Amino acid sequence: MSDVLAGTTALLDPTIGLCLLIGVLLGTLVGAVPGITATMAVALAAGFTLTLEPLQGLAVLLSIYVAAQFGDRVPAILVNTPGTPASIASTFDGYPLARQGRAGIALTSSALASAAGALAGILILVLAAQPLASVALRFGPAELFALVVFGLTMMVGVSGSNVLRGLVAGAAGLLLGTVGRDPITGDTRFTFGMPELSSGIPFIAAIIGLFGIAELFNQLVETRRRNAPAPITQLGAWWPTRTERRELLKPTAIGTGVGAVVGVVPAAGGDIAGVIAWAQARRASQHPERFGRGSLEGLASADSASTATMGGSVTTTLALGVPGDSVMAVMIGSMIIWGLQPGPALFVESPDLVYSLAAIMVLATLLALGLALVRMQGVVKLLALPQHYLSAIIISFCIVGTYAVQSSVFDVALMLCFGVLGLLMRRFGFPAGPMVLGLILGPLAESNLRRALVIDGAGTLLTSPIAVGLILLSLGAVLLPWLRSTSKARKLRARVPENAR
Amino acid sequence: MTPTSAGGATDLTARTLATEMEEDLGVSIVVENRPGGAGSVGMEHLAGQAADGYTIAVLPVEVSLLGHQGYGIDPADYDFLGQANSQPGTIAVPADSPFRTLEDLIQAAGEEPGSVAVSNAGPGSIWELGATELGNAAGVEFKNVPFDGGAPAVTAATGGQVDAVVAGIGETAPAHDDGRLRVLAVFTEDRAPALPDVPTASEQGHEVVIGSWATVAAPAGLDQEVADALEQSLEQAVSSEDYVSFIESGGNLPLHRSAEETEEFVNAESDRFAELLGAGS
Amino acid sequence: MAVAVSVAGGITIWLAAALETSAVGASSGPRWWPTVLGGMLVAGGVAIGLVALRRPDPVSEQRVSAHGLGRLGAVVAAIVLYGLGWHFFHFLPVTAVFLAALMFVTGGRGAKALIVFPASTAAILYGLFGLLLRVPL
Repeated sequence: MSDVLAGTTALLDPTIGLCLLIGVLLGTLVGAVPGITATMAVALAAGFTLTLEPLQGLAVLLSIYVAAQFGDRVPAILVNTPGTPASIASTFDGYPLARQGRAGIALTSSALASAAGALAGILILVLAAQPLASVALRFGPAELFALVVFGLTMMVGVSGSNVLRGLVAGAAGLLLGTVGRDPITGDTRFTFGMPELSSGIPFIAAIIGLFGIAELFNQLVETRRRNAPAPITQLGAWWPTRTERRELLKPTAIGTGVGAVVGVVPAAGGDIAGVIAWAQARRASQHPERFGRGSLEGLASADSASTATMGGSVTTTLALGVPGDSVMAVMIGSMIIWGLQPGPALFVESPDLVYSLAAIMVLATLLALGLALVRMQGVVKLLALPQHYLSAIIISFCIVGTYAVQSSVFDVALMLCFGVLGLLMRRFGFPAGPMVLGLILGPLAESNLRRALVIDGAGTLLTSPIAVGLILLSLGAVLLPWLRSTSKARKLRARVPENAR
Repeated sequence: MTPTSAGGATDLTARTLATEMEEDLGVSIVVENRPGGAGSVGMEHLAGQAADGYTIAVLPVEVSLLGHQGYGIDPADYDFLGQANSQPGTIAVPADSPFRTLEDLIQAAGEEPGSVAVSNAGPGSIWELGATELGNAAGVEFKNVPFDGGAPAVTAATGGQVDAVVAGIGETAPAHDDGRLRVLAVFTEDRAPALPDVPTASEQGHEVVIGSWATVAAPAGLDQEVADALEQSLEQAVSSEDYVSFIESGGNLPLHRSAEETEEFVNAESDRFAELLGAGS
Repeated sequence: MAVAVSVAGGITIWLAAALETSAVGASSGPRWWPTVLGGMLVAGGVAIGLVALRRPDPVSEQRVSAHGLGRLGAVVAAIVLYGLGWHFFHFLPVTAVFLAALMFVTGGRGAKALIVFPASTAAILYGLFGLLLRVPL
């Protein structure tokens, strides 16, 4: 208990409060601009914070990390562009909600769900860090592959009504994921001699193009001479009603659970968690047909999941010394410079540090939540602008943001291409979600499968309990909905002839 | 400029050096990140810049590697100003592994070729080459399992999914001290200060000296005066307190070599890697 | 609609075929995964074509207008020109011009839209990315 006290009282230093504030502001801003990811911001901040004391520096870095998870929902909901990959799943329901004039509730619920997820994730960090970490260690290539397969099956759920097209989009995404270097042999595949492609298709450019730019292009194409399509002018009510609040509980719980688990697994982050949670919440929901069309439940589950991964990632990082996600990878570097060595020894030698970090994250979450609720005012003013202002702003921010990731004009060109591709997909009824899933998860799946095969041969998948369990779950995820719909159809058909008589 | 993204080891090296050299030279030095293509994008960019002394970069070991792997990178395109650090390679096994010494590991590999799985940071990485070189020196064959980076490779070893890992000392020393890994050998000529009780591979009968390193370079054709000034500033920066403590905190060596020596070294490494890449695969 | 879908199916088949031939160049390991995917795409394309022929599905999106397409073309052209301009000139003026062009094409008129807004937005972008984040523009 004294460690907890020591840990939290260490934060009473006012300079830490200042660092927290700066971090939260930066993080929210960074999250809100598509193209700039939390990883980039933390990396750059790491350079600047080298001169600070460890606790101050960590306060800045951690609060950027936390706040970015709140900031990135804004563009996801308002313009269908994920501010960072973690909010991909938030676009599924967030944007439709906004188009229905309910952007206000969407933003607020998103903030609340995100806060809940983050806090729960941090709680897990504090309570169960070491046992969880040892579970993470058992995730070898075979288990990771199984987990990724499970994630891929979510594609079926994400496709909405066009399952067939969703699968094709997913396969296309997987194919796109193969561009680059083979993970095992290092040979280049499909790079057409362009060195920019040798590390694969730049992920951020693809997302921004497929989601944000495509949506923008779609709006452009639909304009008529006089009548510009309605931008999102209506925020509607801001605070969810009591029934709506109650609706949010279950999906948030599901999201938090999924997020915490996924967060602990190294290399799996908010983006995957969001999608898995969304699909799971849909399965457990009373109104599954609303998902993807503006369901608050969908939004809540996606948001709480992606923030809950933070607790898990930090856990893995601190307990194992292995980065739980890319932001943590950067933070480990900084921690080492400050003389802190993440790993089991950390818990033994300086447990109060762990509590300090947890407390920092809690405070950052609360601050970010406050900021999120307050920002409504600014958002209203922003939305009052006529559409051409907004589209110009969006386009230019997307372009510069994409460029900023790798200082590469190629990325911007690619973003444009994906924008056109996204537009075509939309018009022909192909959902973009599965393609992105394929792009992210494809390389993970292939590399881990091949690695597992190299290490132990074809039997590995069947010898690991975790892997087998996950694969069974995946099969279930694919078959169950199909079974359910065919039996429903059968029942319907049986009923109709009676009525017809 | 660094050919890596912000926040990584090379980037932090660059920033620390930049701060020191800024003070020394009295001009502002801005660190630019140009990641991509395993470092080739940034390196190509540097090669194309004007050799006026205003653009220099931290070039890590990849400058000697990438040329042999299908990238258009040639050390001859650069004027090297000096070496900034050295990260010796190590080979480690999980703490509960039955292999207590390097010899044990090699014996097992000899009995059943390809049965000992050694993880590394990626296909064509310096660490995969390290495993290959060890295999060549000892006359055995390892099963190389590439991962996506150093950290996952080390984790795979700590988790017992592979038999061993070849990685930089900065990545294995903390785990060794923690008791999660057992470093069997260091691939240097003399024992490493970060792991004083671990014998070198040479001591155990296998001559393997390999590691990652970082140099500072400018596009070829630099004016001699400018080069000298930059060289001196770099030397001073590398020996500065802040830099030394930064590098050592990561378990690496703030090794400095003069411009000439660095150029020789880089070319020698390049030839060596060419051989290894040709022979090993 | 059926035509569109068949076209989509056809494209996927073509892609998959191109894929399988180019993948032969690589060594044995990296080949099979893309080949599997290519096969799936082919199957998917065919399936979509078949389904579309049997059941025409409703078009849920608004119809495309010629005016809209024209705007889209103009925007894309503007973006491409912007990219070129950026290469040769400094960020600030090029961006301002680009934004003004965008505004014009999408229907904005008047000094506020064509001068004040582009200039201030370009300035904000520069400040945020160029100065704060030290991105080489």
